[in-house]
Amino acid sequence: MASQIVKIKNRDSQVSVGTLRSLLLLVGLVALLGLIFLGQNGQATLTGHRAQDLQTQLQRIQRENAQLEFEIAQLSMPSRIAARARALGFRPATMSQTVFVVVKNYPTESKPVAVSPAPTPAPPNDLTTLWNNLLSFVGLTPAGNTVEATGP
Amino acid sequence: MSAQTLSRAPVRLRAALIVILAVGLVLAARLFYWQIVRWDDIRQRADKEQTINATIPARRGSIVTSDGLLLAEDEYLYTIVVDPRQITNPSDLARQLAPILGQSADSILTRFKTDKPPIILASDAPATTGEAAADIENQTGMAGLAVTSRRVRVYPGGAFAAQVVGFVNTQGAAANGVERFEDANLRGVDGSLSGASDALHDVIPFDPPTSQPAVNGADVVLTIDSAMQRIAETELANGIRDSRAQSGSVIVLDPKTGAILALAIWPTADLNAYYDPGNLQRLVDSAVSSEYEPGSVFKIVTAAAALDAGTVTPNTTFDDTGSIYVGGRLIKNHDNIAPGRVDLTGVLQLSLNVEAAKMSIGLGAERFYQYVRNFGFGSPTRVELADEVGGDVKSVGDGRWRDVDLATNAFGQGISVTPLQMISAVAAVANNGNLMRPYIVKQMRYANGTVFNTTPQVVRPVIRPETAQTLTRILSNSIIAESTNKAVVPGYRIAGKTGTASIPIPGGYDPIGTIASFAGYLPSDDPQFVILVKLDRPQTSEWGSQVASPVFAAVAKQLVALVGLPPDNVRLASK
Repeated sequence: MASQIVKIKNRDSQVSVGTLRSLLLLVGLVALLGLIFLGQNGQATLTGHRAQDLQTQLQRIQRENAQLEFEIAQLSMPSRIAARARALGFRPATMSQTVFVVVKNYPTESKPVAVSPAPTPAPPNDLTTLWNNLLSFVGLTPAGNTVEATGP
Repeated sequence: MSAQTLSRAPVRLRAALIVILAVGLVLAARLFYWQIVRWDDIRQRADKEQTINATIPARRGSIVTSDGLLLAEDEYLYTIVVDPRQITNPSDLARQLAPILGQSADSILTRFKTDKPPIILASDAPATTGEAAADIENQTGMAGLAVTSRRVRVYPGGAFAAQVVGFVNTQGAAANGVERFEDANLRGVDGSLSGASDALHDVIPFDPPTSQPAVNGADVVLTIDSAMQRIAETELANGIRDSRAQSGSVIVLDPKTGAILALAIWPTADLNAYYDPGNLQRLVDSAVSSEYEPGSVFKIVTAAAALDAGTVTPNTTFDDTGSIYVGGRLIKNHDNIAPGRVDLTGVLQLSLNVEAAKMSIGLGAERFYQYVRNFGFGSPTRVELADEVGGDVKSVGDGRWRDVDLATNAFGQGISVTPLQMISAVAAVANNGNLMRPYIVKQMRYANGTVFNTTPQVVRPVIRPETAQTLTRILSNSIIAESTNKAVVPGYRIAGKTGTASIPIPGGYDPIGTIASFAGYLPSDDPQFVILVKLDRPQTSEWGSQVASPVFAAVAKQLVALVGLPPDNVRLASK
């Protein structure tokens, strides 16, 4: 009876070790998968945060840019520039103050460049040319027309 | 536990079991109610709490002049509000806000102590100020500091080209000018954003939200040149001041393309303050939305029609007795002049109403009105400006037309036109008889990179080129013949015509006020600019020749200097 009990106990401990190993493997696998999942999600969250930050930054720059454009436009208004020019002592030029120089035949507009038509290939006028053309059409370049590439 | 065992169990155990079962049943019932019966409702409420559905507003397109001067754009203005009761360290916040707001930390701190919360530290602050304050709010999580922004349409030029640009009100509705006409293109298409949100209704980046990006509005490039616009506005203001006129307009057009180079209206107003009393009326573009009787400037159209139809020639002599009866009504020349024998140049130089009436009668109503309509009168020009009207041209048999209208219409009375129609008709003569569609939008730049350029468009040829050249010569000679003509631009041959028109009022014409105008172009052999000057109710003189012509000359002199157009003798010598 006592030996039977010992036997049973041994069998139990053998099953427990196997199961334990499998369980540990399963737990490890689950933990690994969890880690991968968490890592990916963490990465996604981080990227999301970064994208959101960049979006906010872009928005801010766009808004500040619009403000700067507005200020530049205000400073560029013709009335302001005219007032500033007057303050600096500038006056609009009158026609009597303007000197025009006459340049005879000065090309005021660029003339279109004459383009000579591309030379058209001469039509085959003999049997040899016709034969060569036929050969090149079917992929057999005639030996007489082959140019060998030479090394440097 | 079998039934036998249960029956043998103590009463208390049985009672407890019944109670547990009853509670379980109640819970199951409630669970069924919330999970099954109210599922839709609860689900919707949860979605509402956990997701964010936001609109991504599209940026409204900008409006710029042909030389790149910004006239309208979207901007954000910020309001910075503080509630000192929630601030843990007021002196620290005051110290951080001081350089941003341009105030001393002490003065901000004093306001924290004395002002009644919430304290508005800045309203309508620009983006640089607002965003810096928002940084403090975000970085430190400062309770008691709130920064809010709102999008507004801003106009850097204020009153510059105000009627051309138009405006967008605080509700986002466009009014007047290009803003309204091109609203669909400028507005863009709002986008949308939907995703998981946290308790503060901010997007949780963990779950990327689904979004439909906004499509920003197209940028509009006008044909308006900023320097020419300023010349037109300045000289119009000078003309109004010198003549003490009530209002007026100056338009500069390129006759070869129909591009509007300048369009000035007086009085005007700052577009950023469109809501101020009286400004809405000042911002109406009267060049396209108000009609007037053009007076003698219209004789250009009558002479063009008569010359083109061949009923008169440059050599035709007219015997002007100073008056004529048409349809039982007496038509007279201005100041009752009766010059006797004159040619067509004399008719236009002396602006004889009687001879203009004879020309339209000679053409006949059908042909005369056909020419008038061909010149574009009676229908909108289709320029890209809102609220354009077509003018009023009576037709034979329309119930309003009388025989005398054929005579009076010939010298611009009893016919209503817009300033833009008038200058377009004059430009047709300058452009060898081809009527161009006036346009003010040069280019549309869409958000996807597509650029649409406006192509000049010939509406129709209205008179033969030879007729146009002959009429130009006659108009030019009529100005040269008048040695004291105030429209003259030294060194340049101009062609043009003055106009002094009565103003219709209920029951007749205003006995006092007139509309004084001048329409002309230069250089007459190769026109570069067509200019129309119109002054309403001038006080110093009622005549267009006295008050409108000098404005034309002032504008023309500056335009030729601006573009470097040499005087005729220099220009023709170089050819």
